[in-house]
Amino acid sequence: MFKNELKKSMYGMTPIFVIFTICYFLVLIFSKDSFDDRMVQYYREYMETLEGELDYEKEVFIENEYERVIVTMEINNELVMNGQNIDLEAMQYAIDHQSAFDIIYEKYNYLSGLESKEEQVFYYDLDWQNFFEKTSINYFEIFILIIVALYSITLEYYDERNVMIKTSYKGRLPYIVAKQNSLLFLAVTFSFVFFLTELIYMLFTMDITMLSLPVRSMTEFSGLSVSLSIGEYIIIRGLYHVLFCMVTVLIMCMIGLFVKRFQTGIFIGLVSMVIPLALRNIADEKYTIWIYSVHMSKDMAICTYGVNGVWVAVVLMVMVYFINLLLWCGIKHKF
Amino acid sequence: MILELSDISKRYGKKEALRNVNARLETGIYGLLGPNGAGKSTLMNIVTGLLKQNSGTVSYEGRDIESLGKDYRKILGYLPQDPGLYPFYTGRQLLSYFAKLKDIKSPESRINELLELVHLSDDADRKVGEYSGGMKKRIGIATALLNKPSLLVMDEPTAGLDPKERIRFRSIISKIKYESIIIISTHIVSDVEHIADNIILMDEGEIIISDKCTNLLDSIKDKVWYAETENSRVLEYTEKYKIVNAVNTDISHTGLKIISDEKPVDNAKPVYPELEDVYMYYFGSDD
Repeated sequence: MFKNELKKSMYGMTPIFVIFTICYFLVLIFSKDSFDDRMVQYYREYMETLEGELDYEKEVFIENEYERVIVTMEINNELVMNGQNIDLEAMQYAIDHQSAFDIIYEKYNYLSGLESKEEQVFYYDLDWQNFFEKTSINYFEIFILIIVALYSITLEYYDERNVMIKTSYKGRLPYIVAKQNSLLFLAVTFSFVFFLTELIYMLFTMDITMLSLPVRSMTEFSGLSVSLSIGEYIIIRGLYHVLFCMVTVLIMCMIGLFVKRFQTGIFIGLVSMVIPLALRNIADEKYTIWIYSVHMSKDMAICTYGVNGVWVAVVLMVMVYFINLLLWCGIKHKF
Repeated sequence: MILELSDISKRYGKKEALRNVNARLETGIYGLLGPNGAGKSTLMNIVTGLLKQNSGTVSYEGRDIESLGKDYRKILGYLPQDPGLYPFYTGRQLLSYFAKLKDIKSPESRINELLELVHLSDDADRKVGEYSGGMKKRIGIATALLNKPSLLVMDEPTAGLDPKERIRFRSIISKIKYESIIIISTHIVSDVEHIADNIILMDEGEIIISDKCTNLLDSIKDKVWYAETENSRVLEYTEKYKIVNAVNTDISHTGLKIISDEKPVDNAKPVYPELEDVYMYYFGSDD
């Protein structure tokens, strides 16, 4: 039965799945990085000096640079305001390096505050930031999962198919168990393929010798409650990702069982994607985490919920799974 | 095999869809007839376990179908009006799929047997989406028969079929009538007339009458008349009597089949009733 339900769900979906995966891969390759080239150049230069554990020499270097960039900017700005001459060469240096140094200085303050000495490490992290940003929210995958899960469950309501199934020996509990399991299998497969796409992209574009470096050394991961290497973090991220996908298909399955129509289900599914997006721009800061979670923003979710997020996802999954059993079998009926 | 309905009632909000329905069904074919809204579909949904009644019990072989649970579904075959067929399956794949749902072990020979029965052996490997309406209905019947059901429920099984397909359907059902309780719900009276052993007439959520087909026909045998009249008087007759049929006999005259307790006109001759006349006798010409 599982195989049959899998086949039914996948009927006509394989080309969509392949197209979306290719599109996703292309978006990864061709999407623009978030940092401008000049800033990257100066940031890289700084990192050549600073790379490695934070020590006294690096602290002195950063304090000196602070004088050369930030203080110079402040002084020269004042001179300009007063109509006095400025040191053009010094000012040019400060202007060129300011945006790169702002990040360095923020990073320095952040690293100084970390308890673990092993995590007080400078490394060139802009590529990793770009990588995590690009792969954090995967709309391609959410979209395809919404389509597949809703199609799979609402197709049973056309032409009284559900009636023929429900009057069959295995048409109640065994059927809905097989249906949900097949959707979970698809979610795991999809998420794994998309995860694999990310890994392939990573292998070809990133310096994988850096996988053992601590992920918390990047300021973006200040909220992470556990100490992990980049490699470990990517694996946990993958697990989160799979769980989010599993929860997504079960929730879509539940929507399908409620509305029974594909079009209505798609509308609700897409609205559930768009509303948090719109809210992101207007909502209070404290809701941002929830919004990112809804959108499967792995990094934000992991930073906020840590390992507890896995349990939340598992509990949610079990709850929705049982609600779906009841919705299909009927509360008043024997299974 | 006995299916017993005892005091079945069903309400949708304030509307009472079924009111104290009682019936005892044994092996044979039952034609469930009644106008729209009579409660036929609700009754069938309750019999098939898709809907739960507010009161009363449905028992099969003396056991409540609720307590039988999935064992009841093991002996049940159901063909809805628009049987849910997956267009991407071939006829054979569709039967295999439902064979799994019906927990039939090694179903190949049964599938071949049914494909033969519904005359679809040659089209078994074509996609169901390419089938004609009649072929879809036939593969639907085969699906319902997969588990050799002791109770077969069919909702408007001949709707949308051409005359040849209808005859074929009757022939299929006749072949299995001695093995099962078969309930056929329909508006098309002529479809059950030739095959049903028993007729259940329903209206407004109640069973008006339930009896053997021959008894029902006998019960109105002196109430069906045939009379010829001028075309200009047809309207007058229609307003006065229940007219079952009107056929032009020549350019100026029409032959009318009339339901009436008494001889309607002097030239009227009694005729032996058909099931349609019974239906009209109970439900009138409005339906």
